[in-house]
Amino acid sequence: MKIKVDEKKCTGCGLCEVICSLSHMGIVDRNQSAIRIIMDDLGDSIHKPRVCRQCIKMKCLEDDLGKNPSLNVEEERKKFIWESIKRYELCPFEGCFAYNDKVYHCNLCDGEPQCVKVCTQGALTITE
Amino acid sequence: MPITRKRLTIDLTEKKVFCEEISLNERRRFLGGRGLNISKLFKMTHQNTDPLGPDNVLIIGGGLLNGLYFGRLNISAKSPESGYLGDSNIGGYFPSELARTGIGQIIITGKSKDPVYILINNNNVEIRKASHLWGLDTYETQIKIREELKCPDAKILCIGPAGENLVRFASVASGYKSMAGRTGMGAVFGSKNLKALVAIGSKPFQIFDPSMFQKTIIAVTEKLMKTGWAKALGRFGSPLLLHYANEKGFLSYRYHQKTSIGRDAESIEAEALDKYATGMVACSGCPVHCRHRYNSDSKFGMLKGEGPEYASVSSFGNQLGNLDIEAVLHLVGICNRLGIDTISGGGYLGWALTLYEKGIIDEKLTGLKLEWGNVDAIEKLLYKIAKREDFGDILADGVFAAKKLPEEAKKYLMHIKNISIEMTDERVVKAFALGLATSTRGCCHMRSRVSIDVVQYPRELLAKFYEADVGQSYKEYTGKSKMVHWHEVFNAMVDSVGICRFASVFSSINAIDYEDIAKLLYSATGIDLTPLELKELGERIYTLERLYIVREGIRRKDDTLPDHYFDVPVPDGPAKGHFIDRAEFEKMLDEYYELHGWDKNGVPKKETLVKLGLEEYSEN
Repeated sequence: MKIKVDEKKCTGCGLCEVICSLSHMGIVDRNQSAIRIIMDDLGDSIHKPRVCRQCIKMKCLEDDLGKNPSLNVEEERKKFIWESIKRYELCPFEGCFAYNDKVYHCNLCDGEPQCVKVCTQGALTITE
Repeated sequence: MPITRKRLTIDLTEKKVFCEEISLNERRRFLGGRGLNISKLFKMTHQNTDPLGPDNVLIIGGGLLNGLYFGRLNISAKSPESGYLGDSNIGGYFPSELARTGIGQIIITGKSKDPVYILINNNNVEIRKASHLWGLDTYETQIKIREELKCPDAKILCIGPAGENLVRFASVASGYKSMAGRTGMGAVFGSKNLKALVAIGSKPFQIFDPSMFQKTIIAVTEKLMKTGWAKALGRFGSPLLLHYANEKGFLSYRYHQKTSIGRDAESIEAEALDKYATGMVACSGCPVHCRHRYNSDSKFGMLKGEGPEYASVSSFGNQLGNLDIEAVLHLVGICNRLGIDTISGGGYLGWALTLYEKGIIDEKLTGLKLEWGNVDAIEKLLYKIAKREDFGDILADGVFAAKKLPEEAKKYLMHIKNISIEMTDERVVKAFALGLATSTRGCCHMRSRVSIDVVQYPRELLAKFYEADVGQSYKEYTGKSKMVHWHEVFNAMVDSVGICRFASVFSSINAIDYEDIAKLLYSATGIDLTPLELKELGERIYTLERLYIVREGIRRKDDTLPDHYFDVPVPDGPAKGHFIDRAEFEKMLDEYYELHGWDKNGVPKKETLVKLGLEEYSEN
């Protein structure tokens, strides 16, 4: 399961960021959200949501796996906050976000992604 | 917490900045935005305040839920366009960004000697030089500021040349098309030598009950998006209204000469924008996403931007006899860049074109062939207005231009409380007509437009909703005062929360309502106002705005419509023969004042002020 992004449909409303930080952190703060919209409000107005692509082979974990080969990849996948900044640096897709020494990573809300519920234009959808 | 956002007072004469708490009591009485603004504007300006003088105050107030769900703010000051209440609402991305700086309201006083802009970067407030930005249009200004701050995410409110040159109907712009358009707030910026306001914010919001707030957002969004109205807006944007107006005979063609143009309107209806649009975009926190983005080649060169709204299409389309959608996009884009309000701008241009047609003014005076649909002449005149050159300098004064024109010109000028008539003609829709006449900021459809009355609701359902007999049709007078009162009060409250008109009860009774807002407010902030208390809060705001204009001398005699509405029946089309009956109109007014608790002259009664807790304002 992963969240599929259709950039052309993103309206830039930012409700995905609101609901993500709200459901995981109990506050509203785009910096503490695992989805981010790169805004283009004075360009072509094409806004770009960025979120974890749920890669089968997680490049973001390579460094940590090197240090600790017994790291449980599936357990890491389920975590919303990662303590290792290196993972943010290694992601090739801007799919996770660093803020105050923590990395915010989409864990698919235990199978019920909240961001998809408020994306009324359908820029975010769930695919297997 | 949203309720801990602070108030900044910035004195541009002394270059001093002062920050203070906004008390919980103020929040419970006025919430934020429009409500909190009038509570301050009333006390900080007076009858002798010159709208363009340094003693006018410019108040920027964010809705209480900005940054969380939706995000709009009101800019209020004494109006240079009317001389009375100035107040204009704007969406886009600035309002939520300002909320993230921790600031809820900004009061700007005095006047800077040189052009400046104000930068609010979380806790740092800086008054920065803006001489190098003076003269730039609104897009150039925003791009330049982002470049010099090396911050592509900075959100900006700014004026264009029209505001700088004190055009009385100058707007304040943000992004491509978000505009605080009406009542000339751009000219107040200009009068203070204030080019822009910049927000860079990254503060998190603590939430009173996160789980309840999350559930409420999801439930309200789901409910809202189920309405046909929100679905249609998300597809066509507000231009879909043009079709309705034309079909029912309430659009203004050539400055109210006709109210419907049949199939000719198709060239500027919403579907005509499809050729240019590349998708839809939203304001911050809004699930409805009602504006087009477009990026297309045209006979005017590249057309790039967002919108336009129905009001802009109609103001620079049918109002000026221009049925070319490319020309509409082109002209509206110019207004947005120059910082000219499209509604008032289209209205004053419509008046000028009428005078030209009737031979009251001629090419010798105007320097231009001001014929209906002459796009080239209209474009040139817009630049002349913004720069206050030649005939543009006269027209830049809005209704006050009449003093500089032949006496007969006044006869054709249509306005209410010194604010131009709009792009619609309300002779057939009686609730619309009453709402224009009573709006506290002068001629304005957004204070109360009872859009619900013209869509196809069963009348018994409407009677239940408004708890009154609202007649069998929008063409009747029955119950319209009740409808106008309902929306005036509701809208005043909604503007203080920061939610958009298009998402709240406006054209659908199933959109966001009192109950939804009570839940959103409570779960987000802990403010436990009941729907009934929210209603009273809306009445408090509206009555205080009324008290403000009463202090300026406004009375029943001013709650009226242009003579054209009373004396000239619609000549043809679906509204043929309709006009506003004077006796029926007066009856509506009587009922309307009664509902607000104002006397027969439109002055709020003492007991109303006591009931609303507004006694402190009555002695001013």
